[in-house]
Amino acid sequence: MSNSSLVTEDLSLTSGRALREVFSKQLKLQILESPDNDPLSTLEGKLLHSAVSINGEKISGTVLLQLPEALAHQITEIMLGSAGDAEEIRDVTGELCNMIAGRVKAQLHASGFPATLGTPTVSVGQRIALQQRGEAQFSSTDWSVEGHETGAFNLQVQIRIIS
Amino acid sequence: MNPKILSVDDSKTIRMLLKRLFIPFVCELFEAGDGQEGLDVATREKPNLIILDYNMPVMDGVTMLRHMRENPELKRTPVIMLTAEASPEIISTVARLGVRDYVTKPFDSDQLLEKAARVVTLERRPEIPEA
Repeated sequence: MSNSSLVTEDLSLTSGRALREVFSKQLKLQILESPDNDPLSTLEGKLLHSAVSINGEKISGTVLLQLPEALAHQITEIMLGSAGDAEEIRDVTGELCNMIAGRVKAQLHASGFPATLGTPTVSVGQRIALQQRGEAQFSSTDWSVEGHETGAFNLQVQIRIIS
Repeated sequence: MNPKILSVDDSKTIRMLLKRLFIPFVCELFEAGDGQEGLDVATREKPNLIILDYNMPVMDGVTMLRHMRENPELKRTPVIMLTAEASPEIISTVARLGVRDYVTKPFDSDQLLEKAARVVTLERRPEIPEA
């Protein structure tokens, strides 16, 4: 099996494992893959997007996390112990994506693709999709928090192997 | 004298999380948002423990550590790394620079507290009775 196919096969699994680890360890929340097809497309209200780049000699990619505002508020309260202001909610969303990207990066490193993480960027808006580039491998999964009615959220990961 | 703990992380979230973690204990907490600011605060306050991120703007955690180890006043200051970086190269670099412990994000708060308590004495603040 080539390194390239290893990344292809494992990308959804790798990102799902990273996401579960961050939610259970940092937030003490269990998450489930959403059975609905693209649940964020019908969501009313804004989303917080956070993106972190992963770059190495042989690899380039992005991790994008999209949370409904209500869920971002709830996560902020869990992490900081109080309802945060707008800046704190954005910072928490960015830090969450940074942790997920860190776990994805560690898995890529173990598969022979060392890389470094960029600084998280956070924005607010409607659902977005990473632009799929050439032979880049792409994974998009929708999730919900067990026992919470704050709506689904989405994680996208794109990894391109530089030949 | 109360132990001084310095948190160096560009994420306000992590700095607030650490503040919340250490607030029940008798200690003085200081913060910095990057390695350069961390060096400035460390030089001024001479902390008993530094909790240090790796990936930061202006100056990263490893560069800050290198500067500290060249400074006679800071070279023995205990450091715990708290970072999303988990590459073997970084871990071995900071181990050579003498860090006490390495914690990867996401992290368990109790575990971090336990590691900090191996470096500094963490005495619980007496509870203030309600009036």
